[in-house]
Amino acid sequence: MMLLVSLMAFWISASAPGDPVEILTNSGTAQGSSNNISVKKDIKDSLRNKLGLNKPLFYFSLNSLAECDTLHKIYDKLTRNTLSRLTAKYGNWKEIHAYYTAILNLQQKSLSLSADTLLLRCAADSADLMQKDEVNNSLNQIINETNSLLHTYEHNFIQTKIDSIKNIIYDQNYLNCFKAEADNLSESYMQMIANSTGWKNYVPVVRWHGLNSQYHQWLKNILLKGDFGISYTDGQPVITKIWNKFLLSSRLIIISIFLAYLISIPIGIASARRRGSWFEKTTGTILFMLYSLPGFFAGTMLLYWFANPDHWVWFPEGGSQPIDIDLSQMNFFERFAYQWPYMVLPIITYTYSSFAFISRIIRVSMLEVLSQDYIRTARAKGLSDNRVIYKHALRNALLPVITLFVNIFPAAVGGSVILETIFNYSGMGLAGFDAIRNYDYPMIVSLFTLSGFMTMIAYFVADLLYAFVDPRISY
Amino acid sequence: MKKNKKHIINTEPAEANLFSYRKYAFTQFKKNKPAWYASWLLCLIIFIALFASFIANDQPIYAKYRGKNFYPVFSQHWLIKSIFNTNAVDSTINPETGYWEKIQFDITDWRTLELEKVIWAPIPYSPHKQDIYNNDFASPRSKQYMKNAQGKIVESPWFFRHHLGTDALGRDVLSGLIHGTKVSLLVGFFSVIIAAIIGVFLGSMAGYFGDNRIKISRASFWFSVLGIIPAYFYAFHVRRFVIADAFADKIWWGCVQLLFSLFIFCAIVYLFYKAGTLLKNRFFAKQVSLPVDSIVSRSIELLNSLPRLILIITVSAIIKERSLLILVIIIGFTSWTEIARFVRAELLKVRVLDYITAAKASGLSNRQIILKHALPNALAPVFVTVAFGMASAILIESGLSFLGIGVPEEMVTWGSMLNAGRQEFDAWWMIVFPGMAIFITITIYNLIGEGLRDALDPKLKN
Amino acid sequence: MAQIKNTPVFIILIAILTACGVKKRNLSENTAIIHIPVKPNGLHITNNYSGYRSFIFEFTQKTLLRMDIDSLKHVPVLAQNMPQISNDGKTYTFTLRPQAKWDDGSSITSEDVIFTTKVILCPLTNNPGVRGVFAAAIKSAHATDDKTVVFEMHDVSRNNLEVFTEMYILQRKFWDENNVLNSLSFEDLYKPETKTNPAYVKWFENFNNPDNSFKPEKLIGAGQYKLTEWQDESHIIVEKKKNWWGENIKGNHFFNKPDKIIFKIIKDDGAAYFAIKNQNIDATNRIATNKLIKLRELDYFNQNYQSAFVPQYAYNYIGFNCKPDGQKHKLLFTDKKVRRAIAHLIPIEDMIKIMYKGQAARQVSMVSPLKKEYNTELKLIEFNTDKAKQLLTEAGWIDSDGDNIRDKIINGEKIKFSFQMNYMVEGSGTKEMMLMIKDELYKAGIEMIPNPLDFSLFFKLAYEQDFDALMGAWLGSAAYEDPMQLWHTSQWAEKGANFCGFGNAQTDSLIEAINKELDDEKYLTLIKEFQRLVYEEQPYVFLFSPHAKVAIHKRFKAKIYSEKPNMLVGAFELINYSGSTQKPLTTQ
Repeated sequence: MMLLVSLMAFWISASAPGDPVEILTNSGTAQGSSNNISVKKDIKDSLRNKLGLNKPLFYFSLNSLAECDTLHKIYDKLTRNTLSRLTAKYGNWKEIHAYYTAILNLQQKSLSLSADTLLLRCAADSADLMQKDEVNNSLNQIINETNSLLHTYEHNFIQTKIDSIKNIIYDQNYLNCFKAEADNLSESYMQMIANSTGWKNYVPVVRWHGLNSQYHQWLKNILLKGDFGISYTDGQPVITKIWNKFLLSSRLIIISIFLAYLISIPIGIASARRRGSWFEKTTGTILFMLYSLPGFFAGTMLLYWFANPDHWVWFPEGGSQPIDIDLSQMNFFERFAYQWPYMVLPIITYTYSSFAFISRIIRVSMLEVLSQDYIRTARAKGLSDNRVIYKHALRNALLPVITLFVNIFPAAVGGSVILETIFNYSGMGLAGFDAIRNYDYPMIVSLFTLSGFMTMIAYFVADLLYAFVDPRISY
Repeated sequence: MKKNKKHIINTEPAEANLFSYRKYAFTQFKKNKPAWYASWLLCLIIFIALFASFIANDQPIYAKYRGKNFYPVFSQHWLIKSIFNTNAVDSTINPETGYWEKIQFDITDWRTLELEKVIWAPIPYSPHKQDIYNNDFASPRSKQYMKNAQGKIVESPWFFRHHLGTDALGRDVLSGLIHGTKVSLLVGFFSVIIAAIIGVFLGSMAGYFGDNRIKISRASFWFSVLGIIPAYFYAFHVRRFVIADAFADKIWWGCVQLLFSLFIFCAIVYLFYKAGTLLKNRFFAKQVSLPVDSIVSRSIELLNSLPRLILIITVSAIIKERSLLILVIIIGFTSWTEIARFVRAELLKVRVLDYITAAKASGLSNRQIILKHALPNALAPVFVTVAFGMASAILIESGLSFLGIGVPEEMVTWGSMLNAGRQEFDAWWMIVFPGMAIFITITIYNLIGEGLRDALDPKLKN
Repeated sequence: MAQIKNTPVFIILIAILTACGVKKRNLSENTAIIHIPVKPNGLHITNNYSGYRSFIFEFTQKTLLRMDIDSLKHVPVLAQNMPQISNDGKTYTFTLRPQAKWDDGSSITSEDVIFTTKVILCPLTNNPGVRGVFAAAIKSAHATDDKTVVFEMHDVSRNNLEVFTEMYILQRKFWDENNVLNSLSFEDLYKPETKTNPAYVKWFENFNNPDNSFKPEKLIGAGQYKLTEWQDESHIIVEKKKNWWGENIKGNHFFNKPDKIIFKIIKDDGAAYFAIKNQNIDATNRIATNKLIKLRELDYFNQNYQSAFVPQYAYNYIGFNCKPDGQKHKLLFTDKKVRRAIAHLIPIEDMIKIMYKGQAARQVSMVSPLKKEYNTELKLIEFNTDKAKQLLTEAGWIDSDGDNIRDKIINGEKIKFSFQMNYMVEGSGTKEMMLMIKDELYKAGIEMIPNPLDFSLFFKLAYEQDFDALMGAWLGSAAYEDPMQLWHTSQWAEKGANFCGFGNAQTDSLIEAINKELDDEKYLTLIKEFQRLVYEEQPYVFLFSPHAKVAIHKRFKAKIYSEKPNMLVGAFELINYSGSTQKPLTTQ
């Protein structure tokens, strides 16, 4: 089961848009000059090696005969897309690769030459300012056209782009040195079209990569080292980032589920005992309304009333602990006293909906149990009401509630995204929300896996409780 | 003769019982007052959603201007637009200059025109229309202003007031609430329909066939498994760019292409399956059972073990494109488990009953038995789950727009209004009214679900 | 039975009661809590360069020179005096302060400065975003003695002094204990062999490690405060160093009055508003405009805080893709008439009035009106739908098919005037402004689809030149702003910050001339001329410059400045403050 969860999580992270390396190398704000581009590439390559992104994704891959099995080594997602689209169209990887290298050659050359060197080279006698700008202009144009060729796959557009590059180069004297590359480019493109082997696309090939795959690496790191990888936003190990938040969140969730059961069981029993009474009707209505009340609405209202200087400031407006007091020196209880106010509102919001849910279920199951023959027998034997209910009925009535535990738990974990955002409680939910907004996939994936893990624990606990309540089941 | 027999089976007690059972359930449901009223309220909400643009609109339903009749609201409605080919543009002659002047309905401020006759919509505001005179959270009780036909800015008369206040841009909250019902209902209905289709299908397969009722020859089994590889290759791998381009073009077109791929996939697997049946060797022809139930149950467990909201948020983060359709599909595809579980449980019970065995003995095909005999009796809990499912789908949609993900940015939904209210606590009307709208709708669905459960499962009643 | 039933009620009551005794913040403590809206993406001394970095580095790190927040002039910090500049303007000689010391007691020497320069210039350092600026200015550095450093510059440029204000000095002994980089000369820096030398590669790999951006023990510096704690999304704490070397030096960069400064990260506008209402924050310069206006209406806020709206060097703009590829992005904005028409259609005045409550100033060019370089002869482009329609018609955009959206036949293909405008989801009110713009554009027959993106994706698409139009903002400063980065065509060809594709040979040469012109008089005419050219071309619609929103608690004696970060937290002087009311007066 965990394997399936992890496989799903990995699939999500692999198919996710956005390139982690781009994010990690700060290229979002990069303003590099030309000599920077190649250097940047070096840094990126070493990062990719480190992250293992230069490996095939999975143990095996299913490709067509036309496709090249090392395509994943071309890093730019857009370029990769272009190349694989070209492959899907022409089916001749060799020629496509030739075309690709022709583009790269032209790009390299145009980047390596500055306007000054060009002018020197053609030894123009009147290299005045305007002419230099002109040179600059056409050089820029070439660079840009070549760059965009890497992202173009429609035939018409490629043709026009190649033509325009050739036009620029043949128009100007001083661009003579580009002629060879440009001819090579258009030649290789012609070749590519001429030698198209489209049929190769319809022959499936299964390739075995073995253990040298990203997934294997990823799984190995998690299982052996507990290493979920590094966060894309700041390059920090995910596990250290998430662990504290995990504790904070699970504290909230466990306390509130505990509270929910604590409150709902007596209420459920009481309303089952006094069927048709005034008490049952009012609690029934209130519980029903609480059950339908959306958590984010209730949370916002609580914040509006109890953490707003216009009304009452009983609780802090957000956060998980006071920041101007150093809590690390204190013992658990002192620390808890400081953190408690921050937890009250989230706990109330967590608790109310599940306790409404649980007590309704208890009421129903209690009613069912009370109508059973053996309860009637017990009553007929003259046992006291309390004794009948707590000794005989309760155990059986609790069974469906325990099953619920397995449902409530994931719901609480999922609900934490909304609630922690409202209360700005820096737990797992808020971290997950931030990660999603920043496309920080390792974080999302580990969140995913962790919550799957927590649910497994919930299943386990439910099983134990079952055994405890129902003596027929034993392990 | 055979036909006759079938006919007899169809009118066997099961059918007759079902009829009276339905009637009984209906009277039971009617007796449950809250649920009964709730279903009327639901009808009212559906009515509001259907006629939202007639109830709240800044264009008049009818107007006479410079001697000419206009029906702007009608021309805006997509149905009328497509049938009568009406245009949202018209021209009038300016009596002073004698020139034609173009009136484009949706950008004209009708209140500033000197209309001779006019019938306004009951709430004369559109949800997207910004009102620059009442922007920055005009309170329902504060003074509100408008520009009248004489071009003067005056205090709004009662009819033109924003009765539930405005948001930062002066968009009317009441109008937003009314148009927001459309989104909520759409998401609720369609995602649950998707979930129900998947859930009923998988659930009935799992429940009816169990782990050992489908028997195929060993060869067919292994051939089909093997066939998955080429099937995936030809259906999805070869066509991946076709599908991607289709999705980039139009979402529905992408869906069509995807369905086509799915069809290819099934066809190829089926071919392999058939090829397997050809092998008559003793070893290959040996029957093995297909563990349908285990597969379905495991995938239900898998989906259940992932927090649904986190799953939905993650998926919608990956897809990036924000559209209602995608949201509906995602919610639908993640919430079928409950329905599948109920259907499976019901069918497990039903399949051993006598009348099914009888139907089987009389030579009906599995498909017929499931559709005509087994499923109808198992549908009761499905209705209940559908009602609750709508409530939770609406809850998820509003939760997502509350977080600011999922629905398109400019779409006014209850959740997005509530989110705006959270940013601006002083504007209590931005929190209270949308929150109440969500609350009431969910309560209605829950009441109906409750009522259905009590009515369909009489055991709980007493 | 009754007992059991009542337990939960008791528990809730106890919970609420204990919570009611929530410990209020002790306002007499000498701790300043400063609000920042996002966490810095790291505090690596050379490799991270978000805006909030310099806010925090002000306390933990030191540079040779710094822009003074008060006089808006360069002042020496680690340097004893302003540098001596040689006659040809290419050699800068710095003398370091004799008392300057690192935390371990060793003094800051010229060795550290040269080490820092090497690291910043070296291509192996992961600072591609800023290295270009330094590399364009500094050629090499050498020491003449322990406390004297001589910098050789490439050229005479207005930018030369600027680079020293952003060069945070690293401690050589801490980062390079074995003196690996000693053998690396300035000439070798750019050689290909350096890139493959395993010793260097290994050292730089360690240096670039993300740990150096986050671990407090790695974030040491010569500043008067020490970073002691960084709780990921919650807060960053810096604490005052004892016996700091600069305590007795006068100057704005040497104050260390608060014992502790906490940078509290609050992303949500509403939450920041509450935090101020509850006096949980001492100072902010990033609260939303409407929130500060609301706060200023409250008596108890005014009693507790001083606040102001201050004009600042920043502007919001709408940029057009002037050189689109014509396929993915259609040729919509290649005509400057169209760009001008859009400029006429943006309801800037309304945006200022509604979203900024008037707390923003319009400007027509990229130079702030606060500066003397601002070209006052250029007129603001007024909001005028009719004129815009006319311009669009002149440019050939007409509604030929009656769907209310203009279209035009370009290269035989009919193109609808419909485009996506990218914008960042972060920041309050942008969505609302987008909707206002959408409305007005629609009235002129243009369909605009708002496309919200998060910060990183927004910039990625921008630098890839993969957009139709975008709404963004640039944050400037009182210092000299090099027009090269944003406006030179090379920055377009190399996918730099000139993502709109503005420029031609004339503007390029003008930019180069501006950078080299040291004579103020001539410089002013050149830069004004440049502004006029940008204005004509209109690659950006310059929207407005929002005012900084500053609030500082009155328990500190402090002053509000117009240059970012609008306050000198180091100079916050705790005073015996009696006016503090924790609860609003109205409910007492």
